Amino acid sequence: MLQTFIQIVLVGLAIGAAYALVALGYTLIWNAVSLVNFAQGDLVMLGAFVSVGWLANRLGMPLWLNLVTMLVILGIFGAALAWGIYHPLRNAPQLSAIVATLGLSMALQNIAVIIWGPQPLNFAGPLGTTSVQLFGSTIYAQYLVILAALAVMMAIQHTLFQHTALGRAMRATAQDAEAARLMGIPTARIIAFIFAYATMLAALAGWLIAPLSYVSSDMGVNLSLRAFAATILGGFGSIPGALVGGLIFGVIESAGSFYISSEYIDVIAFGVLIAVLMFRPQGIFGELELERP
Amino acid sequence: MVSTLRFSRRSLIKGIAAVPLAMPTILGRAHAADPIRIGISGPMTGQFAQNGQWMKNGVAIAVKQINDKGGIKGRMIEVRIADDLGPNPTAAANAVTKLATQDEVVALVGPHYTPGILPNLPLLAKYKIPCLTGATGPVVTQQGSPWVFRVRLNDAIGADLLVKYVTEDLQWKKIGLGYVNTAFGQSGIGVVKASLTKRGVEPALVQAHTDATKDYTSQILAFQQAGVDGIIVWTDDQPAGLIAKQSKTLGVKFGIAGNTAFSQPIFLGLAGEGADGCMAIGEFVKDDPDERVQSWKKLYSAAHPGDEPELYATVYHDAAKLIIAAMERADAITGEGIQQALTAIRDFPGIVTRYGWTGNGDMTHSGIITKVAGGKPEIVKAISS
Repeated sequence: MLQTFIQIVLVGLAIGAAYALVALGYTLIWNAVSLVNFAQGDLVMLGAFVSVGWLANRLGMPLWLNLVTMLVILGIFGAALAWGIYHPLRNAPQLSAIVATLGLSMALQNIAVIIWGPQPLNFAGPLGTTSVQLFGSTIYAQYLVILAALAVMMAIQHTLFQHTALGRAMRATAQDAEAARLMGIPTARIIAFIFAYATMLAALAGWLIAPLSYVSSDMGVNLSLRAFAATILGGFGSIPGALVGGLIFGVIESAGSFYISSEYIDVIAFGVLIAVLMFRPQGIFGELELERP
Repeated sequence: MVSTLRFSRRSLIKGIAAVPLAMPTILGRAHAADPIRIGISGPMTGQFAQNGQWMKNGVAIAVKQINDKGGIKGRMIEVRIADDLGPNPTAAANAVTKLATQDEVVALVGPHYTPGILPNLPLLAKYKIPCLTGATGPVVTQQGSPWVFRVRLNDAIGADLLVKYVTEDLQWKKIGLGYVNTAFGQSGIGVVKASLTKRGVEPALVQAHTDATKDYTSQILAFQQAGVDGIIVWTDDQPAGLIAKQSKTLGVKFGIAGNTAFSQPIFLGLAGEGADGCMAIGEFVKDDPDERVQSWKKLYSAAHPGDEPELYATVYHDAAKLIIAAMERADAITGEGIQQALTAIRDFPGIVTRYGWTGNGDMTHSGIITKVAGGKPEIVKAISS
């Protein structure tokens, strides 16, 4: 019984880690430019396709070089999104930019089918179908890879944000872009960097979850919806909130499916989200904004 | 000069007078030369686009064959395609409306998915267009539409035969059920439940998923905890592949059986080694030694080098052949004429089976139980209703 519980929680945390990586992207972009990028889930798909469809299947690139190359390509793509989508619309009504990201989402899905075809692609990942025994439970090793990757990514992010000039500039831009610009920070370039970084996080999530399932044009749709819910659960705009919200959402889904019912899994997961928001509308880590009467 | 002019006028008048007399002939010839349009409503983009591609491939070969022979009554067949996004009711209704009203097709191949065909039942009646579908959900023909002709085994029959096989031949006593939460999965698993109840078996556990579900660990562990001998799953190709793959990874021991998805190339590709041992009720395997299947395999591979036929290309090739046969036998090549001719078809030799119309719209009455061994589905039992 305890073994099964451990399995369920670990699986939930691993799936939640993927939600968290996408949720972090939502949060960083929202903080920087007050834009919800609805194409964030499709960047998950794009990362997986570039890695599997091009770098692995066509070029036969070794796994880790493949990962780094893919992240670089997607990072450049993310920066291009900032220049191509955000900048032209930065002074337009906010809705225009949001609709542009929705359009981008649909375009990316169909472009992926045109480039890589409609048949889903398999990806073995670093460990193939290896399972490990942990506390007497059989755990698919890829789940542990995902959790380790999230931990490493968070350590890198912490170092970047707290101990580098670039990270400080990113934080300053996220807190108040206008003030940061007046302080001499090249905010346009920093925003492009934030887009690049958020895209790399989503692409990493795609690379990590692809071995669990497969690579297909729609693989980011479900993930982006759940990551968005996780962002709200954790507190919109909060970086720890995105992380914790993602992990909690993953565990709720996994445990709810096992202990209650898979038939009502969406009702359970989103029911918990609604319940939390009823008592804490700002989410777990969000700050309540007080308005003067 | 005047004479000539008078002659010319006379000729002109004669010529004008002759036009109405010649019109039926001219129009008749033009009409006879007009192509006959048939439509394909299938998923051409998105997650299910591969199935749409197979539909196109199968139909194209049948159409090319008849056009190379001079068409039907001197008219070539032209195929129009509309993207219905697979199990998407809204997109499927739009696709059929476009094919009926803009392309003016006289018969349809597809929609392929049960959720896609259901909203189209009233539209087919409105536009008077027969459709040949591979949608297997029992609900497709339960509403008694005379415009629907099902070219695959009705799940109402197939699911019952599969339950009979696992309970009697495999002696499964404790059975878990899984289904994709769409009209297709719900109706299929409904038949499985009814069939189990008929045999005095209550499902140990019932689990649902969606086409977007990517992790099945919780569900697989729940089946394991329930101590099932096997699970029967009614779902689409991709979820089927993931269920088998993740069951293998978790090292579970129970058997897996399900609908045709558990023998399809997408399933085999995704499940990998996990596919071995999985059983399915289906209609076609490309390695069937039957002469018709092997000839078809050569024909298909010649048209698509490096590729081999699977169920959907094959069944829709048969569907196109049925439409062509109906056109050849119809009094008039119209939707109503073709519909009438289709209802008269009995024992038509296709590649998958011998098709015959029965009052409810079903044209397929036999199937096979397959089991995957070494990554290939093999026939373990042939069955008929």
